[in-house]
Amino acid sequence: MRIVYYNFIIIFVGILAQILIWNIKKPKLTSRSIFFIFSLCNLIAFAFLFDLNNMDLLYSFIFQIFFILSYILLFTAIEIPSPTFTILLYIKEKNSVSPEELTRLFDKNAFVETKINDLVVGNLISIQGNKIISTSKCRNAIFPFVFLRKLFGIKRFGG
Amino acid sequence: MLGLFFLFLSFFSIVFSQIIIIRIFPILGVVRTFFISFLLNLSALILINLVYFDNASYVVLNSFIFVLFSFCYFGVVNGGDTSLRIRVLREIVENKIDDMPTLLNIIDDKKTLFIRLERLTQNGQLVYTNNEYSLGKSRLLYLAILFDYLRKIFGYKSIN
Repeated sequence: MRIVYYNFIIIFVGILAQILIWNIKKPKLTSRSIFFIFSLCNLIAFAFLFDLNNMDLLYSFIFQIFFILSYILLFTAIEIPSPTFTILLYIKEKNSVSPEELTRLFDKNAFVETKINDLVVGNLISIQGNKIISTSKCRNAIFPFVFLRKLFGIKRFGG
Repeated sequence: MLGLFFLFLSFFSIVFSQIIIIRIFPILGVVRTFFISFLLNLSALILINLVYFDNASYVVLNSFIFVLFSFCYFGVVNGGDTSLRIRVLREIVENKIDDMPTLLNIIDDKKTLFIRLERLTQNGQLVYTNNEYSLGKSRLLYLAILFDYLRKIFGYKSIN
């Protein structure tokens, strides 16, 4: 079980390093920064600290790649508050809320604008005045979502 | 290397089995069919690995890798339903929306609010009585509290 412990130690150290860095200064490019932190932890651990055979290294590499991808996916939900979680926490605080009160909470378009801004920072779209320009990265990013839903035979998209 | 082959086969298998299940039983929806194919494929992978590997650590790692892959896959599958970012991208790419006022007219916070309220009420997370929403089941609320707590650990402001 040595290889399993080693991989979890790297994850633990990576998360601690990220908490430390994030509390000092939050980077603009979140996903890239997370990828860099965990890649560095892996590089140091496997090059200098842990002695593993080639098969163990291959498994660790695959494990770490999927962990980093999952973690980035999870972290986007932590970084930018979801409207669903905002609704639930607001109702928890007030016990019961009328639709009118909730509408007031969602009056400033803050959620949509934050998401659009996030897409601009991620270089998926650019905005010039009122004009939205999509990049090739944008078309590639949407492809798996559209393709899977076609395979499932679902036309409806939520949001 | 056969262990790796089974692992990659399970990646295809979870996607393929979900397509078959959802095509046969569309009423089950994306989330339920995902969990059914996830459990089926994880059980099959663990069984095959127990037969193939002598070393328990590879069985554990393979299972973890499969769970992580499934998590990423679920993000893509469920993103089409729940992600606001994907909705924005889709309006821009597929519906050729290229100016902000039109985009904000199609997707705004109020519309998002009512889509979410409807979904939360449908799956029992919220209860709507006497023109007021109150909490129903607690599953998503616990997740919201956890995420709010994690935000604080990473130095972000609390959600509310």
